[in-house]
Amino acid sequence: MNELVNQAKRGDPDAFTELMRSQMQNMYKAARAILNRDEDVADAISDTILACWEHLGSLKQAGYFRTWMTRILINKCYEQIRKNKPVSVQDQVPDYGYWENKYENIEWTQTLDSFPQRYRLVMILYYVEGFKINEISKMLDMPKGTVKSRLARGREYLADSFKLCREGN
Amino acid sequence: MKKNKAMYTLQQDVKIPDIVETKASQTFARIQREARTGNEKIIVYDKKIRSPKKKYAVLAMIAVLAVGTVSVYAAYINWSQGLKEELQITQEQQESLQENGMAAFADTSVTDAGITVSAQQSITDNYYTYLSFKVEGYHLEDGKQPDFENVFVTVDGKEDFNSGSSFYNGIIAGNDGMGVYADGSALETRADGSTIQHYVMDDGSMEYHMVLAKSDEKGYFIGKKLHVEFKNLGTVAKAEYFPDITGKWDLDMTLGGADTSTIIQTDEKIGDTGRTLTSVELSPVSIRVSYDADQEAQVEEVPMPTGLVLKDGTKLEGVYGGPGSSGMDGSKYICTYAFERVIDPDQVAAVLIPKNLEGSAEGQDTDYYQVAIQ
Repeated sequence: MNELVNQAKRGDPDAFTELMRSQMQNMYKAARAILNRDEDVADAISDTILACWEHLGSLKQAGYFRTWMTRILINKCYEQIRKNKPVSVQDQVPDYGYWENKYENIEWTQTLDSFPQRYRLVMILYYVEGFKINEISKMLDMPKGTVKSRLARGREYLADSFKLCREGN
Repeated sequence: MKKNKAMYTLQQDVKIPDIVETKASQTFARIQREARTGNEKIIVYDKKIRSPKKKYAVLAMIAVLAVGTVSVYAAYINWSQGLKEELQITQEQQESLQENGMAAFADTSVTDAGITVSAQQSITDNYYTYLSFKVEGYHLEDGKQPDFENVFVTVDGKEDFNSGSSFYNGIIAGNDGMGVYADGSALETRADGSTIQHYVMDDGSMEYHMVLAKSDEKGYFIGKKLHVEFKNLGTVAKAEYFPDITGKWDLDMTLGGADTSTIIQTDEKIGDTGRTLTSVELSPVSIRVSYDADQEAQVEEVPMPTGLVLKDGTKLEGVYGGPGSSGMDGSKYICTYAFERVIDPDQVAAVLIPKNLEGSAEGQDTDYYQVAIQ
């Protein structure tokens, strides 16, 4: 990937397109952990692609590309929330309760949505995208202890859900 | 579901929804097209952060820009009407924010494609900075939502902070946390159920507001150099950005700011939660609270205070404006967030902490712990 990043930094639109396309799964999953509507996810990802294209020159080391891109994506997601906010929010990332009724990705979506909102993003960033705790801490402007406790709570939540499932059976 | 199966499921590739794929493809196509035609407005690489060409003393700022006509004036105090409304800033609070250095003013503007974007002011504390930019010359159709296609911000050349921004829509938070218009009247809706938003001010201009946040480094924004790039102006609806004006507006400004926070040490237990509120750091625009937690409660998250009670008895239930952050830091649990309005820290008697971590059910009043702090 570093070679692609460096080519993109030199202004190669094909390299940039290939680079960002290789990140579509990661971008979608992270954005979907924050935003509930695919319309908003589409906006956030598109804004991120443009921002990355314009400012890739400011990225000092190609090896930090994913962290840098993900941070931009997270900010773009929060902008979407802010744009769509007609009333006050009760949590950092509000749940609008609007659920898309699509059959594709239903198992993935249901699995993600089974977590309380506040654990979703850290779980995705750590367990799915493979970021380290200090990287997540910087991306989310969150103390490392908080990242660890949310991961722990997310795991406990999974364990509790599994226990309830077994007891229910 | 099985723990491992859940993780396995999350790790599997998903089908990118059509709406996401289509919009991304359109964006890539545009980049390809503009790169191949050599459009200078898209391709900027190895861009050095420009230093201000001129500096003005006193309360602010300024420096200059890239494309289009530049006007630079000596700074003078010119409160942003939108920021005054959105943050519900009284005349007395304006004077106080000026006096203590939190409010800083700019009067630099850039004109491109017939649109003038002006940096108006900033309000900065230890963890947040609110910014306001005036946008003139754009004709917004009724019922449309304006937006820049792209906004890029650095502070001292760095991007390691969180941010949120949008055009001010004339809606503010009432004391119960619900939205009302700036004059206090109830929100109105169109026939299709959408809320009527007022983006255009009385003088025909619009305002673009930003909040930048960095809660893990005290004083991060104070006195720093801000660089903002706005690119293209149009409208947004659902998943689409509809381009209208092709232009670029770059502005540099120096933030003001001051550490004016009041830190109240307290030892108030929060009901029967096993948690104790140990300190509250209040500034006119943000709050940072610290809790102790006993061993059992440590792994549980504590709901953050979402409201305040003033000494005159006024209850402000929805003061969360965001961005915010919360979580364990060593043996303490820390919550920090920006207010949705300016407050007088010395008038705060108590914080309101929701009893239910998930919030109240729709239509029901929220039940709070009221924790006295002064």
